[in-house]
Amino acid sequence: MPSVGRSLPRREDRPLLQGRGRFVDDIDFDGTLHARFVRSSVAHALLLGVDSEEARAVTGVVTVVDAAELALPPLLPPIDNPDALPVPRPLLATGKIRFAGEAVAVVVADSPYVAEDAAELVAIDLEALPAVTTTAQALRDDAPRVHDQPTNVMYDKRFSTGDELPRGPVVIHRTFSSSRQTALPMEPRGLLARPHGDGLEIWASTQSPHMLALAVAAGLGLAEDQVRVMVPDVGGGFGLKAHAYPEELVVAALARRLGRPVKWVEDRAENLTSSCHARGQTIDVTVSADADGVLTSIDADVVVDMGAYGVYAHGHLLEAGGTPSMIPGPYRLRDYRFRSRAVATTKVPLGAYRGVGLPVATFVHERAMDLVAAETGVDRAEVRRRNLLRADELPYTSVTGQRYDSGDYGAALDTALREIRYSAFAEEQAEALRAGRLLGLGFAVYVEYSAVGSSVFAGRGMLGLAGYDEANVVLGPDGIVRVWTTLPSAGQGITTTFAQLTADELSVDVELVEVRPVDTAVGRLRGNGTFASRSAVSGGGAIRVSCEELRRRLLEDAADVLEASPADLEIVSDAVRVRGAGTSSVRLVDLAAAAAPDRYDVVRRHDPEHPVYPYGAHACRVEVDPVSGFVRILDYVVVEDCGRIINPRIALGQTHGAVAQGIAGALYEELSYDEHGQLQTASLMDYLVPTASEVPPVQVEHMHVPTSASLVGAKGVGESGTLAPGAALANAVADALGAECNSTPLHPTVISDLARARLARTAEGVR
Amino acid sequence: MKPAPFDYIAPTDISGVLDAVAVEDAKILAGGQSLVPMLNFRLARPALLVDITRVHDLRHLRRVDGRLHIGAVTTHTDVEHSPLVREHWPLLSDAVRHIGHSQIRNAGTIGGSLAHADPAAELPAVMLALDAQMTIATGSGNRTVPARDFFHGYLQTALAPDELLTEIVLPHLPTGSGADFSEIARRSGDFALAGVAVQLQTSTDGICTSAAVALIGAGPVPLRSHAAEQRLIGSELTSGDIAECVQSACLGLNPPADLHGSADYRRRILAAQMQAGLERAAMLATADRRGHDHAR
Repeated sequence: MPSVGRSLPRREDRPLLQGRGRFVDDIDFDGTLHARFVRSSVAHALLLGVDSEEARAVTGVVTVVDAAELALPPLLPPIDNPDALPVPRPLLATGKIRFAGEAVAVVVADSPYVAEDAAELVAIDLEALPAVTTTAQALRDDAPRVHDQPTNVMYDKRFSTGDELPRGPVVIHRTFSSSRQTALPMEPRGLLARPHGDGLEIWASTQSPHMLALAVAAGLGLAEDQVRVMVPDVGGGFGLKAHAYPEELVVAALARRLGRPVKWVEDRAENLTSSCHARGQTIDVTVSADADGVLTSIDADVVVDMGAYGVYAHGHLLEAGGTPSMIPGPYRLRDYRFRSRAVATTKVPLGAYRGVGLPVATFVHERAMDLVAAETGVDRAEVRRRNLLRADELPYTSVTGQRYDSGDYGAALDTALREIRYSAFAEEQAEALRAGRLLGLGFAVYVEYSAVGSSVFAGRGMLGLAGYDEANVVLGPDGIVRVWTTLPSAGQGITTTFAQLTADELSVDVELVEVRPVDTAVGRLRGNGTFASRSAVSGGGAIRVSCEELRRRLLEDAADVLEASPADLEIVSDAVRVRGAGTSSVRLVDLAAAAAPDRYDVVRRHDPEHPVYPYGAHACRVEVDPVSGFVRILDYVVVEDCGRIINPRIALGQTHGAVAQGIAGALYEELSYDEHGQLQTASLMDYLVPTASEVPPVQVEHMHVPTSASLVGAKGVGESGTLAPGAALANAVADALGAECNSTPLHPTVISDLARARLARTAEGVR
Repeated sequence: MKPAPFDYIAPTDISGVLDAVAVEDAKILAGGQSLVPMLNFRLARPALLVDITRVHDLRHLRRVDGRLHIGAVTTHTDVEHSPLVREHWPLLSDAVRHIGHSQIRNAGTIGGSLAHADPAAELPAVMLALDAQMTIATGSGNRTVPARDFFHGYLQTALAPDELLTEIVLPHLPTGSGADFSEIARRSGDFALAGVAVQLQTSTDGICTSAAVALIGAGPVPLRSHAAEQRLIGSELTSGDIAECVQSACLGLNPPADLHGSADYRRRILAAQMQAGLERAAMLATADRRGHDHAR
């Protein structure tokens, strides 16, 4: 019985639910030391000195290290892009402090409590500089420079299909914005490093262990095989752990220098003020259409508030590269111009968060579609139908070079409209309004790229990202098939789904397959790690090609035993047998026992040639409370195509979680700074993560148009759910208010003002 | 996010607590739902924590001569699930359910919340509306402070550092009373942006004989809206009466502005809640009267 397509229970769940999860902080060795970073409370300053004398005197403190003592080179993301300036990031602040939360020194003690107490005693001597807290401020000629460059614009890319874009007759010019958000994994960052021989063993809460191993080796001047990274349970990553951070290299360096294990686990306050943030964009857009609502051109000016640095290895190009490339969305568009800038400010560096750049792109094109509809008087569903690429136009290379592989965008929209009961809504809305109630309906269509391979990363100039992934599939003498990959399980359920894929690729029982935690020492694997919805496509692809080779070897060897041709053999559950002949078979465990070592130990790589393009449509109904300005989501429908579904329950969970994070960005979460560069939402009291009470039931409908761009047929499901909620909810609230909502999150105070104005207009109309 | 070092003691009787808090820089730990986060952020750095949750004399809910006696370390959950409170002091019952999440209500205590005196918390406003009496143990015996004199400022109360809030006493509510509690928070379990606690008393002919309107999030301390109350007393509590009273009451309000809402925004919420809360409480007062008449 095939195991792909079945909702097998997640293998991860039982230990996690029984408290048997083993995270970095659960791992301890005798003599483990604990690191605590001393962080700047000031956003921008000259760093004159660090006085650690008092801290060193605390009983239990082993050492206090600042940049001078650390004496290691900065992390410089390997970016080769003519539009980007280099942005080196010191491991510990050197000469200058560039954001509140930046690590200035590190205290190492024999307990985390002593380390934290002593960290308070480290005095930072600084001379404050004016903070740079908005991109508007950073772009001014007289703005303080965050880096030693003549400008704060650290990436400036221009693209145009021609000198003159066709304009009009309908021209809409708007500014859209998306506030900063952060991934907020339940388990914050953490790393434990232990000296081993002349190298290091590292346990890390990371999405990219192989990249981390290389970054540590390069940063510390070690050979690649001297650094081994192992990944225990990971309590969520969502992109935030796709990077190698300065703190991780510092802890690794300390373990080597002190000759003892050193552990660092950040707390929630550090997570909010020194892990990466995301989104944080302002986009000026001019959209042109003809009188029928057919797009004629888009001109976009994207400005990204990148914060003080980039992240390793993506640099500072994530949002600024991703958003403009997908602003055309699922629509037919030939004339497009953009400028995209990443602008340095004295704020937490911007990194990856589920959806990277694409939720903002979707927000832009879906708000624009509603505005075109309003301006032309064409129904907003019909405007989209006129512009959406038809199924028979795919594959289609977009104006920015994206190769949309397969899909039926119009069918996704129409299904969503049917499920949200769009045709009946106008009447319901009018009736509710007469009773003083504000109902709104909104929808959004999206397309996403996932599973980016090495050629695309190289094209972006992101040289530190592998783009490919590898699998090591081993049939052991015990008859168990063990699988190692370069993609850690971080909550996406791949310990389960990879087992399902392996079982089907080999035609063995899924119970015989074990997916092992990532360990860079096993199989000498190299690869990218898990982000950008790539695990099923890229990791699944690597598993598939590994299994093909293992299967070939098994059939070849079984053919000898059974005196048959390999072509006449098949694997069924735990044995190879002759097709059609019931009795003639050899068990896998017997083949394994007789085989030469390494015979059934296969490593293969998959490097996706093209990205895959999941797509879908979200639709929702909302009610706005005119007094509080709160938005109640009455119905939420997702129609999506993530390709072949490996485990329906896991795919559903991914979509639910992604939609919840999308709703968070639309209605709740915002990292806001004051004019001094102090984060005002630096705890979970003020950074409003929605809870189960705030997230409505979400109806999910799947579509499946096959793609040839994915070896296993999966298109990726991790991020797609985050793309459309911002746009769908803003469109719904705008519909309820008869007013535009062009920035997220939607603030209750603003919504409440617009809602009362709407009711006042209605009352006047009635009179 | 770990507390600065402190000493810890957990006395089992009131005199043990009073001895302990006589030391400089001691702080009482009653349930820890506000204090522990403040310790972890190192916003509070006491030298000594005096844990009073093991003082059994402080955990009780008793009705004596029609009055409710609540021991200071009675948990929110104890109150939430008390049929006694539900029947006789529904305002308190309704309000407690809005406090945090169930895990917080299991640990947090009535006395702890009142002594912390967050103006955005539920219980200070409720105690104001119910004219509660606070019993305070001191080195020289007990003293009693009415709720209206208890809250002095933002996180400031009538309690001296060496005193202990031991009990809260709620007066008997006669027939013909009606109450309502409402609040608005961004997320379920958050501190309120604004809220209103209402306790009304009506005579046999439906005239309002006493009114208490207490506001959450309207200032640095929970406030009684005397302007509203004076207009309500003697009225028939029609929607029109209530609207008039709300309008005049809100004119004088000056709620705080922060990230989550401007002063105007909070004022509007308070007005809407006052209107709805008073209307519901008036209906309940009438129903209470009728129910009583039927019972006779």
